[in-house]
Amino acid sequence: MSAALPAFLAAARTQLGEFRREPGTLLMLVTAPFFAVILLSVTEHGGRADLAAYALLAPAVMTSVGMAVMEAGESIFRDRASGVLEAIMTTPAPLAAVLSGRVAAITAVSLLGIGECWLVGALGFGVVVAVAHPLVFALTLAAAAAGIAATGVLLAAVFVVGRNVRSFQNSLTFPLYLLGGAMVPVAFLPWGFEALSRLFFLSWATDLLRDSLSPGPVAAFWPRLGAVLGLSAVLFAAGFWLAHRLVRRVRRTGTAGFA
Amino acid sequence: MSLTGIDAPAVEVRALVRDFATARGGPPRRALDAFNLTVAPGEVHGLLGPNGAGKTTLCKILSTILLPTSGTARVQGLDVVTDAKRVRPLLGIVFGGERGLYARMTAAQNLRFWAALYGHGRREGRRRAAELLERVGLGPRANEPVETFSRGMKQRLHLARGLVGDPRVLVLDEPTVGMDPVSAHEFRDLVEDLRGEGRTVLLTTHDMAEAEALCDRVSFIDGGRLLRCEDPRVLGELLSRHERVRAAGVPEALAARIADLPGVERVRATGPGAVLVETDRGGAALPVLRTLVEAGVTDVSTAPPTLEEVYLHLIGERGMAVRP
Repeated sequence: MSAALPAFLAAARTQLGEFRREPGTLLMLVTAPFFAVILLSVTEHGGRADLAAYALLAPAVMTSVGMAVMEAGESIFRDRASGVLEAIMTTPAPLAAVLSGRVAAITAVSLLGIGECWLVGALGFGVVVAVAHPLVFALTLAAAAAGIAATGVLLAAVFVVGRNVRSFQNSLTFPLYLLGGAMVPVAFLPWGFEALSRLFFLSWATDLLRDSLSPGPVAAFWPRLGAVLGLSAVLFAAGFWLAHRLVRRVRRTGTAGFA
Repeated sequence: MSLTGIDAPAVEVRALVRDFATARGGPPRRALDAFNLTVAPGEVHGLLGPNGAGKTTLCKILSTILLPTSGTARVQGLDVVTDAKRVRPLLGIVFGGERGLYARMTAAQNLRFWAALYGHGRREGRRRAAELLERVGLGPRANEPVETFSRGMKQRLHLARGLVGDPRVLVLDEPTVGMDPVSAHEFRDLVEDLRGEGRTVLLTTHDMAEAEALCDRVSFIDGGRLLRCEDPRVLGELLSRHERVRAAGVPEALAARIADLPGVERVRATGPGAVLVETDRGGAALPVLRTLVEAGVTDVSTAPPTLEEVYLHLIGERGMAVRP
């Protein structure tokens, strides 16, 4: 039996257990409602009820991306420091399978942020944002979650060789929010940014999610969903390739156990 | 095609070199230097050497954590570089110290995680975890977090982790570090069991008595090079032949008399009236003790030679010719 699937599942279970044992790892789920309050306050005070969906979606997406980036890095950081990373490298399981399991669990849990933000809107402001196109919303969310997980795997692979992970994580999240259209639709960005953002699956996903909340028709849904899935697949492939390459590099340099 | 049959040595290392880069672009530090070793299937082989000798580097190369700079290392006929994927299921490694475990997870959760990484499904993982925890005496503590364990208990859990993939070759890197004498004794019984199961064990240690008790052969390593590969009885002979006697309150005239006794290599003053008597013949310690006691000296103790002293004797007796 290949070790990849059992390793993926075991890593996911381990990560879920880590959330229980170390609730501090869920801090972004605590801050998400506060962001929702800030953004919704701005739109409501400005009399722009039409932007309520944007105000709720932004903190939810930021939470998901932020958790994937931060926690993927933290898990690698902890595994290096505790010598677990070295031990993983001695097993038949590919490191990428372990990373994927962890990041998949992180991403799944991070989606709770959507419910939190919607609750803030409903309970705090009496704003109930209806999902006009539930199927589009659900499929896009699933594809986006896969892409976010792929992003986490790619970055976790990079963190295998990096030793200043924390500063890198903090700096990285904001460009991802920007290029992913989490707060502002990428169509509103200057031309150069928009063109670049179209290479990032999240820009397609956030546009589709916003469209799924509007009553109007969703244009070119399947090609746009295909763009989310295709670009996510590229990220996954890059993550697996990079994990393989970087594991070989740390085997050469002997730095797997360095913290 | 690689040789993976039963005739292949369990471990075969040839001209192995491993260099590590040093800070500020200095010359690389050589941890292993043209190292050779052959371990037969089913053998318990001791790798004895002081800190920095290259023992852990060798263990890491065999367990595919590190790539060699040059030379070859094979496990059951499979090259650890080109066949790393096929080597990993065959080999288990037990690190010394406390690293390599999830401290906040329970012992059982840790083992189930590692079982999955060896391809075991959830049910099989549970079964193996329970079985191994019983085997290393941690059954009653299976559901307690590892961070509450003593160092010796963590070492036992490490051993269980090393066995979770049911390896044919087990590399134990200073596995009794931090164990109390009772646990260390139980550990030795466990290694005997592993030998009985036909597993090959490569054991690195500082502890000469442990190596003598457990191993079929012992390799002495220092400075990344193999000094000697011996039957452990040679080690036992060295330990008894070079026994040392410490004494306090010894007058100079008495010290001089002891120095003239047969089998006494030298008498060193270690403080005012304190001496260390080094012998070079089996049974030579007895007349030394008798002479001291008859002269009224009662602050007397005996001790085996240190590893460094054994090394000096090994090198001194046969020269450094083994070092190319």
